Amino acid sequence: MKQKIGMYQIIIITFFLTRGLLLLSTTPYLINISKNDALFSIIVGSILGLIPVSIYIKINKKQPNDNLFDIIKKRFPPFFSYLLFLLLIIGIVIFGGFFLSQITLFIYNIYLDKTSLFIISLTFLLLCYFLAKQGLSTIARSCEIFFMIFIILFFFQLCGLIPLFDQAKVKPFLTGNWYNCIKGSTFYALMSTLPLFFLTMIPNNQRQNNIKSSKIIFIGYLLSCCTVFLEFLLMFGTIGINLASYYNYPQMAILKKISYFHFIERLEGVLAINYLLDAVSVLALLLFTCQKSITTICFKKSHKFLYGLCLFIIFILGSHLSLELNNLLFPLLIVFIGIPLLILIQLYVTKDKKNN
Amino acid sequence: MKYLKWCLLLIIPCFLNGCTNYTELNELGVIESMGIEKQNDQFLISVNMISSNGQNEQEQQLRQSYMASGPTILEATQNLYLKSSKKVYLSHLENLLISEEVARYNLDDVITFFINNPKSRNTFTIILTKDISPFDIIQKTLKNPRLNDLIAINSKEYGVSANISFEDFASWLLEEGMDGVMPTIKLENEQLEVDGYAFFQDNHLQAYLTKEEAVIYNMLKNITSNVTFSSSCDQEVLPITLQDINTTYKSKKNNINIQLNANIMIIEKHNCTLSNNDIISLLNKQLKTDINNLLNLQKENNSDILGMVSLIRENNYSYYKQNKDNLLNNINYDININLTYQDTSSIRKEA
Repeated sequence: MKQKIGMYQIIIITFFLTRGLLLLSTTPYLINISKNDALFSIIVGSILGLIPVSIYIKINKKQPNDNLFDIIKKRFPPFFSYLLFLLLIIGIVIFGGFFLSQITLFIYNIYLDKTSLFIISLTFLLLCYFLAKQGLSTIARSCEIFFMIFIILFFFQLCGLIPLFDQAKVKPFLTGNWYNCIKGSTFYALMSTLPLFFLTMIPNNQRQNNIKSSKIIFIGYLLSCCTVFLEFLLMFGTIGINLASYYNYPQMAILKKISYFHFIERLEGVLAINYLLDAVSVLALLLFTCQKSITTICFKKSHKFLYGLCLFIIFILGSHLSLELNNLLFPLLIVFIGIPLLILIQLYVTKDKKNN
Repeated sequence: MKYLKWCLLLIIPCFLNGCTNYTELNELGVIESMGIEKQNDQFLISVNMISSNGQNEQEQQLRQSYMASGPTILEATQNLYLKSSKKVYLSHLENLLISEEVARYNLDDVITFFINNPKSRNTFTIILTKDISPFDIIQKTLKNPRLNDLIAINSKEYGVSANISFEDFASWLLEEGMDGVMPTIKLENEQLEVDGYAFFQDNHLQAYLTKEEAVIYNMLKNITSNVTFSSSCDQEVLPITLQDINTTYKSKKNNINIQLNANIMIIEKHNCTLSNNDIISLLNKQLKTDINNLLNLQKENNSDILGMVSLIRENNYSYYKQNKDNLLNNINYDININLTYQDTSSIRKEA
């Protein structure tokens, strides 16, 4: 019998999924959009993000024992369902390629500047593939271990950064125009909730005692938003918003300043492992979603080949093509929020089919 | 399939063990000081490089200086490899020396180079070399390299200068309504000497603060808590030490209240006949004049080194937005100085 995942594991998975895209890929974008209002954008964005989260939760509630692909297969006519499958798989693969490229560049710049991007992305993808192949319970248990490591590192990060915090560098608040502030909030909301799409792949029957997920997913999401807010606050309070906007990885710039008792220094490489943990969790769940989607729509003989093809495309996109977030934002929005919204409307409008 | 898994498991650790990124210690040239100057549209980069020579049984540390040129800072740094066999390692950089010309015209290039370099830590001290090239200072410091210590001890015991990190300096320049200062160093009688600060306006070197102005600057910015200066009493020099200096600011529209608290100590024997209260009022007057002079210098050069405009911006943004043009010249200052006399006569008697 397959192991089911527990309440805390769902909170932790939600936690990592929310952080996944935010800190590695989108920090410079957010600062450049919102400037001094970036912190306000995070608060408003966290509230706005509850809308897509609610969509994913509602879908799970309406059809508790099916994942998103099963729901599409059962609820839509064949042609339309295959079209949605295709769109979703393309979206997931492009998202995976973009995410892999970001994490590869991060590792290349911070840890392995002599190693080729090809090798970094290959080893990282294989690690996540191994996790995804073991199934959801293994991913959940790994996330639990990651969370313990995260808490310890985050505690040390806070201890090191709080003495460097200068509130004058964060002020003044609400100085930009409203358009940019709202634009930044929407951007934050999208970036924090896009990876949460993968939660739709965890039907209720895979959860212990059919846990009611809505409350715990909200807890995980808000907890994650709090840590992100705290990290941004410390970043701005340590190096200032203007300087932070010049760095590719402003988080690393602040971690480099950490010094405990003036003799324990140069710990940025260790403390930055937190960002790798976020990335492993997201990519493992992405590959798991990819695998599930292919097994749902394809004949058993061919699904391995298609899964391999998806992995190959993710790898090529991740290691060779530099994907720009600006160009990907709209297609990802359509796939990860538009399609689930369409499915939710369909679930509300149509009556349950017999024998589904 | 099973064999493929085992093959992968055996191959992956080969790439993950860091061998591809491995650099032997004796291949590494740790840069301790770096100088940037400009001549004939070429950047001249000079470095003080520490490298270990592992050929002998007892590894020896060698300190050597190199110089290279190029049209950009990056190219000039790359050209160091024409002379040095060691890998240029910037992560342990302790101080960056820049010439007056670079400070005047090419500060943006310097900031961009270090911010975009992921291997640089940007916590090093930035120093301006006055009337001497950075390369000459690097040559001078080969035997006695602790340039940061020289500034640090000065900051602690005298208060003329202070170590200002590159990141703090860059942050000042990038902040709206704020200009920065940089410690300066010069050669006096063949010896390196700390010489106050250079100050900037719109990312360009504007002028220099004298040692006396630098002391006042450090007091107002809470950089130093202990300064020594002299006053005149009964036509004689009265040496004074100020301790536990603490300056706070309050702003309301364009009115800024500066509150300076400190303890006075007169350790040396003197012939001043004034009472303690009279000495305090005398010093009060002198400090007020010095502070006003520094504030006027800010206005004359339109360089907000004390961050007064920035203070108004932080506390009253709507007022700042409406009046930001020429705001520095329209600020009214209310200076309050609270000095407490710390009697050391009993110590002197015992001595």
